[in-house]
Amino acid sequence: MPLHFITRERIHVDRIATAWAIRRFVDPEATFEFVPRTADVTAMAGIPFDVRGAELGHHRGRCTLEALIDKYGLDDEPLRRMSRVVRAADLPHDEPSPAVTAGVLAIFDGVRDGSTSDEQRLERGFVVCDALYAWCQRTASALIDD
Amino acid sequence: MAWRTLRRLGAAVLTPGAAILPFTDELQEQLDWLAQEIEELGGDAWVLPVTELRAQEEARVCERMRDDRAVEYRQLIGDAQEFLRRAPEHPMPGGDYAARLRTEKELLALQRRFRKIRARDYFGAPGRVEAAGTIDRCLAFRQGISSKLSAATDDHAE
Repeated sequence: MPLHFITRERIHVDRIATAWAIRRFVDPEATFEFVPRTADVTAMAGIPFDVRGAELGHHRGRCTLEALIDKYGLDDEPLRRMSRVVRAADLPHDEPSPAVTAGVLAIFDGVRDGSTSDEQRLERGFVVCDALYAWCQRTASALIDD
Repeated sequence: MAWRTLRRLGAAVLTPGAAILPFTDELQEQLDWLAQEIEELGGDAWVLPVTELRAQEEARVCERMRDDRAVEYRQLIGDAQEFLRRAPEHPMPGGDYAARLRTEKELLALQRRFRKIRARDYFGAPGRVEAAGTIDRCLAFRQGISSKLSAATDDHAE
């Protein structure tokens, strides 16, 4: 039985990257459902993520992708580097962010605003995540932690 | 902590305990996370969409946000002018590295402040163009150490 995940609609960088990491590292058959921000996800069958109050959400200044890495113990260095970029793009921080952040954010803004459905955002976003992950595999951590 | 976040986002404080921001997906999400944080600390927080405002009320909110940002631009311009007044002390390229690094860091800090204010300047507050121009005049003293310094007027001012 594949895992079923629920998140807020109009998915953006953190939700797309988390869904991508779920498929790639947790369950290749996982399914996703997108609901309005106002929906009560606790009453729904599925694992909520990037939703206020969810275990897979933002905690202590860290993003949902990082919560996923923690929860499932995903021990993968490129993924950890990628999550650093995703966090910087998703959370306005006071700390300096990796140099690529603004570009990554621009691409995901485009994926969100240029797509007509969350299914399409997922499909297009996954291509971007594959690319970002490939870059993180080749790029020294020092560059990302810039 | 929560008020610091609201200030960073550029929220206008309506009365003690209530703040307002323009609607965007991003800002609403930031408020949701902030509310979660407050609740985790045992506090009470509400994120309430405002569906309608009287025209005069809306104008007052915009005015408040513009005023808040104008003050921030004014302070930034003051600090940038102070940097320019110290021009004779700034190192020349090729001079002492520690001094050059200090100058470069000062420039980065000025630019970062401008970008932060610019990002929460939702209604084109007065001072934006002047602030960008003043920061750019400061950039004449850049030391070529950081690749992150770029003209503020290029992409951040209208």
